[in-house]
Amino acid sequence: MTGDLTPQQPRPARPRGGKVVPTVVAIGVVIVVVGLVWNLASGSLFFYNADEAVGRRAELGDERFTLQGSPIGCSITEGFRGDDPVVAFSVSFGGAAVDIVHFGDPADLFQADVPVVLDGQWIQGDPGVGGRTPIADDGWYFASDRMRVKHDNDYINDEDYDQRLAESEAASEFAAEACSA
Amino acid sequence: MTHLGYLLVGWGASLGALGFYALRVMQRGRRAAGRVPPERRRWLAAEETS
Amino acid sequence: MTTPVRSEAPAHTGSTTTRLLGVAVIVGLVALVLLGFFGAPADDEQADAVRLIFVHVPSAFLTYAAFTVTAVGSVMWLWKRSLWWDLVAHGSAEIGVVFCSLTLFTGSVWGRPTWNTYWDWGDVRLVTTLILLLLMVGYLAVRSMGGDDSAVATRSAIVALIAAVNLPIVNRSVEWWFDRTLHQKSSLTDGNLEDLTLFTMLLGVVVWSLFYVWAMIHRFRVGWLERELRFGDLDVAIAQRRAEARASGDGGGR
Repeated sequence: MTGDLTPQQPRPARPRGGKVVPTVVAIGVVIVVVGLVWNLASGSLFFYNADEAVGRRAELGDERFTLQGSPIGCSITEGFRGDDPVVAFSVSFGGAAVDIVHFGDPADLFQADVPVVLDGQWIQGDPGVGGRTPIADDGWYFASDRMRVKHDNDYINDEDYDQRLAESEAASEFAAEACSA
Repeated sequence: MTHLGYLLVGWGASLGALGFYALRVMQRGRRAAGRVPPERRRWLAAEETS
Repeated sequence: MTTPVRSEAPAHTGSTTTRLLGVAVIVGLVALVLLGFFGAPADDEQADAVRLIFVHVPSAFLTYAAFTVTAVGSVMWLWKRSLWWDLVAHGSAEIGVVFCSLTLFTGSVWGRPTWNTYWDWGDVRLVTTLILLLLMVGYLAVRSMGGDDSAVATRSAIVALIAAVNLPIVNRSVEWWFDRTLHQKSSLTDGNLEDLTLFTMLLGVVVWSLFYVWAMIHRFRVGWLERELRFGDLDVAIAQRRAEARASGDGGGR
């Protein structure tokens, strides 16, 4: 092919009849992409870690925001408020604890030490959930109505998982102190 | 086995999509190859001589 | 260089190479299914849902690979005006769209039992991956808009390079915006995996890669044939025009 120096035909024009659909698709793609980038820039999933949420409590007021922290094992209490399922627990991050009341069923993977991402808002006062053991116990709780689990990239099968989990909890200085208090 | 429904959907979609694409691209190849004169199917010639 | 042509060229895009690759893919898939479902252990936290990693991670890996090849092919088209690279870029984009769709779908299916949600519109990893898919769908749309082949190749190459800017953003998003995504960090580079889990995941990457090579060879040949068809149609149109010109007596022999 490299030695072929004969004049080439002009490159053919493709049929123009089917141009409408691709053009609509291309324009649609541009609009959707701009919308998605705009949504991302608004930071709708941006979450505060537990220590940041406590530090910004006054600033956040009754605004809805997203909070991240690791559930403290000894604080998890499942129950009901009226007929609605409720999970009360505390999360920790960065040396601070936040008491949580989650309205609804917990996520399938919800468990101690596996971080959760919660949508909700600060509320001052007693949530009226019996039997809970708040770790922060500062008169505030985070009322959550959406729970997601932020698991890590460890994919381990351990026969002694329960024991390992217990050791992990014990090794967590904050959790150990909080639970023993 | 836990989460079997999710596994079947995820694996089924993956294998199904790859299989569907494979059949589609072969079908397109047959259709196009049938319409192009043999002397212009140059990759075949290249493979024969290599 | 004149290339000898086999007298009875088969009317398909297969060859010995693709058949060998096809057999390797099928054997690899059987091994992957057996190891993925029955060999690799369940995870302590996710239980058997972790088995989705064996199709999700290979799909994500091949998404990056396929769109990188498209970007390289696009640069080579713009630089060298190489038809070969343009066909490679187009074929790889089409296959990449399949892998990217699978990445999003399998990730979403995996997300429900693990994250407790199929999708989150504010999640930076999920949304940048969706943007990547949409940009490459846009690339394919631009390719099929019609017009001069050379202009189409140039336009689509520019779209591919714009989309390629998003590749490192998608890949590094879990590091750069760890507080804006549910997605864990890379399982391949940062993960802590059981040996058999890691082996099975890498086997998935190998099998998916073999499929990619198989599909690329076929897709390249399809692209070549379809281009030949367009030229063939042009030849017929020119011959008809000349015949008309001769019949009307204006010579038409230019």
